[in-house]
Amino acid sequence: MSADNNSKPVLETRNLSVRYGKVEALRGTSISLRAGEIVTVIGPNGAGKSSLLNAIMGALPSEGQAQGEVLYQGQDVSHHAIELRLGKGLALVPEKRELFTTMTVEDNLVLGAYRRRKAGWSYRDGLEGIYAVFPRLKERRHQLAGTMSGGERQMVAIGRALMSDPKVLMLDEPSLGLAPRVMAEVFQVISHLRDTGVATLLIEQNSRAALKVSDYGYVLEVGDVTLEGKASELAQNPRVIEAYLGAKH
Amino acid sequence: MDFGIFAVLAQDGVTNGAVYALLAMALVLVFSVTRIIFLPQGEFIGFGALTVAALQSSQFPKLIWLLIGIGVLTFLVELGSALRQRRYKPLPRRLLMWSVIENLIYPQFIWLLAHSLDWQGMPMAVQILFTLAITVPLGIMIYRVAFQPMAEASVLVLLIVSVGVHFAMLGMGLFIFGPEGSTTRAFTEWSTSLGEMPVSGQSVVVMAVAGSLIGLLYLFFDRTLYGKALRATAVNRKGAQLVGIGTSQAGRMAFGLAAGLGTLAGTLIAPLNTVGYDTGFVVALKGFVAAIVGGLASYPLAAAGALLVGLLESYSSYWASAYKEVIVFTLIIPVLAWRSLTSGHGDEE
Amino acid sequence: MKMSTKKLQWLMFGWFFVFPFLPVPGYWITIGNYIGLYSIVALGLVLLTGIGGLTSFGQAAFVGLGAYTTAYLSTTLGWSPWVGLGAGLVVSGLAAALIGSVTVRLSGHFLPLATIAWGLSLYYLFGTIEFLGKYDGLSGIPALSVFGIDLSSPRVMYGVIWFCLGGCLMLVLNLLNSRPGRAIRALAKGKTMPEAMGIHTAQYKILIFVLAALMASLSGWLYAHLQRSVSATPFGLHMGIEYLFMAVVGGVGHVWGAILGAVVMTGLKSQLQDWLPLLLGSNGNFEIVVFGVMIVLLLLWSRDGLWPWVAGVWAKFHPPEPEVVAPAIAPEGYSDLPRRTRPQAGALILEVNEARKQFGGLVAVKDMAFEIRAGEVVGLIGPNGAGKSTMFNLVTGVLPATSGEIRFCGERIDQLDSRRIVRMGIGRSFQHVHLIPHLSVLENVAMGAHLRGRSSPLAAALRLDRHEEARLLFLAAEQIRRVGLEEHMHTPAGSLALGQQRILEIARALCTDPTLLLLDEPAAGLRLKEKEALADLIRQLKGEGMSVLLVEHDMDFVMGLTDRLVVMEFGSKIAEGLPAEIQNNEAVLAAYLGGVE
Repeated sequence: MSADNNSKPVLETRNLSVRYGKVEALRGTSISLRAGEIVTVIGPNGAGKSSLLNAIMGALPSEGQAQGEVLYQGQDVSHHAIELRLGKGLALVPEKRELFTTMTVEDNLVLGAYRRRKAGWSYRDGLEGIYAVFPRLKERRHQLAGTMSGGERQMVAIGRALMSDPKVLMLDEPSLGLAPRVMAEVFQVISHLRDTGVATLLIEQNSRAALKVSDYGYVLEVGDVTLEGKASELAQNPRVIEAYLGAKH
Repeated sequence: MDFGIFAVLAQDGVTNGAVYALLAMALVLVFSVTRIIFLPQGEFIGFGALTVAALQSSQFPKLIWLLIGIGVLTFLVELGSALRQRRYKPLPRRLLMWSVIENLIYPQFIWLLAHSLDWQGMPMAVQILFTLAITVPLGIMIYRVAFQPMAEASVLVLLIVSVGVHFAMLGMGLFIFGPEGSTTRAFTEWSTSLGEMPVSGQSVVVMAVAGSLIGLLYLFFDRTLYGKALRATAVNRKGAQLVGIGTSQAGRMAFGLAAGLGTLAGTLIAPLNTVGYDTGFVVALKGFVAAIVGGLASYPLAAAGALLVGLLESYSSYWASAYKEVIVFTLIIPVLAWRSLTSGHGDEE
Repeated sequence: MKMSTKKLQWLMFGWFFVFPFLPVPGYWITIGNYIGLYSIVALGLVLLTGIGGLTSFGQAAFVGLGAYTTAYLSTTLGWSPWVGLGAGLVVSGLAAALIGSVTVRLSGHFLPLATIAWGLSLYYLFGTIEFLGKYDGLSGIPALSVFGIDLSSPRVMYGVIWFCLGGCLMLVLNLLNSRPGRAIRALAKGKTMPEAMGIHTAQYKILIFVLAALMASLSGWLYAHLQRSVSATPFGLHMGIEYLFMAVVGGVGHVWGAILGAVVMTGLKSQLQDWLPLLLGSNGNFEIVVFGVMIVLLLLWSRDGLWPWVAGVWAKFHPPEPEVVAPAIAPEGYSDLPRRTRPQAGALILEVNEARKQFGGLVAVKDMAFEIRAGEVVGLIGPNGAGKSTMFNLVTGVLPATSGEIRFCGERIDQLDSRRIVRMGIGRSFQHVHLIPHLSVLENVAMGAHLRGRSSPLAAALRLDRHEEARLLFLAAEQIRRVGLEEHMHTPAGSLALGQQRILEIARALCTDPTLLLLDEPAAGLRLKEKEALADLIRQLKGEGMSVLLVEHDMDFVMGLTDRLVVMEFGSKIAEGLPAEIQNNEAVLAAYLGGVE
């Protein structure tokens, strides 16, 4: 990965702000992400982490207003519709997963490739790729997504996002509500993805585990980046621990 | 009542119920995909039947004027929204070109077709197909003009818009078709009897067409990517957006389908009933009663509700014909009471 | 933004009283009569739809019930029209109560759909029933008279109609500006907030449905005796839809919008009916096309209708003043407001014992146990998805517990709904603030005082509640001062910053006179300064003897503030103790920073 470190960022935000009516959720945030990199944004609830991802994807709720630039491979996509950003190579796994619960696992995955229509590519190939990463989904492909366990749902959600062949995968709290063992599995998948050249932007409150798999990290507090640095250094930083545990005396 | 009458009434009830089922399914589809309660459905029933009737009496199908007019309006709305976003991004030329083709050129093409061919002599199936070629784009255009700009509004605002569209279309229907109703040719003169029960070919055709349409809808939703995309939007809007199924695209598909189903329902009832510009509303509302039985969410329950409405109507027309409509529309009260009691917690927002 | 436009309102209304004395053609008087009749119905719809959040397309059917009842009684039975008025009101009121009780528990869109079906079925009924004259209707209805004075002339009827409208307006305005009125305004915000203030939402929904039906019925009675004949057509579904359009065009959230909408729609209709047939060369109700297009455009342009726009222009010249003001000194009887006796400091007030909540196969709260003693500030913390919110909902009665028990001051509350729980002395705030943005801080806070008064809607409409109202407003103002928001007493709640809105919610909860205050993530999304202000307020309340349960994610916030912390993960308690102990607890560290190795 270090080979890529000097290359241009694949995704960059410049001075990105998000408002919901009078409430400012994100204030002029600038982050960047290179190909094959895993970057984590950590920070307490309400710091604007989800707003950041939704603004990058163009998936803010209708009352949300984003300002500032979102550069994908150097091009400003901040006024593109979700469909266009998806087609370019951005994909988001939202915090609530947002699965099609009354449809089968396979239908969920197939719909992930809704925008991916290329000559010579069939969603069968895509499915095989996903099943190779998540063998359990292949066993359960005819089961309804709503009947799956929390960890399996997260896998379906990640698999669905991967079906669109993203260059940048954004994950919003992938470990949320998962038991430690399942959480470890999810993080393993995330670090495997790096080998396929996908860049991952990760939002986690489980900062220790997230920083462990990441290359770089940002700390977001009340809408602002207050700290950034190499993930390994950030994990040792007393301020990170403080931000979570209020260890100041 | 002897068995013969009982059976005839049942046959009538199931025939009408099949038509209501088509309508109810279209309503459930539109509501679950877009949260719009599609009251203008009724106008498509009338427009469909009257357009087929016009083709059969070798009159020019005047509905095409409406298609041309709304096409121009749709184009202007799309051009306007593209111009408003010019500050942020270049004009989407390809999209606008499609808009010209769909909204300006296509209606003209239909107008030419209507003028240049002898529609009276065509088989009825072709006449119906040509009618669909008018009404389905009309449904899509109406979605684009009236609903798409406020797709995020609440169900109640959308309902009021829906009523507004119903009013506008009803008035235009009166202007286009005049106050007189028409009937169309029978599908078939054939009839037979099953034991003591006479079976009319008409009923058989209606039931067969409605049944196979429901089957086709099932296949569409279960097997095709577009059908799955519509289902996905209904299940989880945000999820659908994230895989690139735009709310507006799904809305257009739903409206196109619903307009088509409304038109077909109109052509199915037109041989037996005189259909006027305003007949459709009451018919569509019976579809609504059926859809409400299904809680506006379940297709099988809506279909069952439609059969219930059809049978109730048929038997009450025998026992108390004057109160037929009263009985059908009052059915909604016990149904809602039952739903209210079984739902326990009131759902909000 | 709520504006006081009293002068404009009464100017507008006064004009309609001067109008018949001007030498205007009789046709104008007829139009004026219809505007008055329609306004009465639209006023009911404003109350029902704009303020209470329920939509009805079936008001024309209630107009029909009022009209047919008096028509039948005064022609066939030859009774006095005044008996017809009473009978019509009873019939419509009962019908509305029946329909209301069937539909109000269902989600929003079932009521309007039911009213469409109901409107149609009554229309067919009017047209079918033998003794109502089928589609020909009933004619020969006597004119109104009082003490032998004949009221049949259109100009005199104009006075009667507008007198009735004025009366309805007065009653509605009085009602809205009162304890039951605030409960009605709270309905539009869904169910959770009003129920947490002790407001019986289903009852209030039925109430406004009945009130709207009564007004429609009154309009029908006037119509029957103005027209002297009735038939089914004017009571059909299309008229029901036009009534709703009037309210929406005028401004469905504003009482005066009803009259404005009726004026605009009636005027437009009479003009269109003159011009459109000439223009189009054939006869028919073509005005519905214009109405339909107009309503779509209006909703695209501004969902609030015309009134706010008119009022806004007016307000430029006549700066608004607050409409609802609390008395400056404690009103008489204020000290007699019932207050709860405080439990002794240290007494056990909340006991959670093996509480469990299951959603299908998912156990969100797994056998939780903790307790709170009087005067303590306890924090319930844990990472996202740990089950804190579900635990909170169990204590506040939003959800019933699957098993286990929760006791408050010794009594079981785990199966009670939130309306009963607030009555026992548990006040709460919301993570996502639930306020009525256009109402002032004072009016929002006074919603919390719902249980502290008892005046009925009727008393409120007749202004017999003013003593109690003064006491409740003073109580609300006291709580606003207590939390330090007095500068913003008359500011619309929607224009406050998030931190202030959270504090407003605490003031509202304090109005319920709680012994235990439950705060749901009060610090989420707040800036540092706002957090400090909030923490100071909580300390101050603790100093006054209040017990507080804080559900929080933010450890920093709870550290210096709480006496004790309870930590949850995966639905279970993983630690409990003093903040300093929790900070160094291995299990807590793992839960927060992640324990995946």
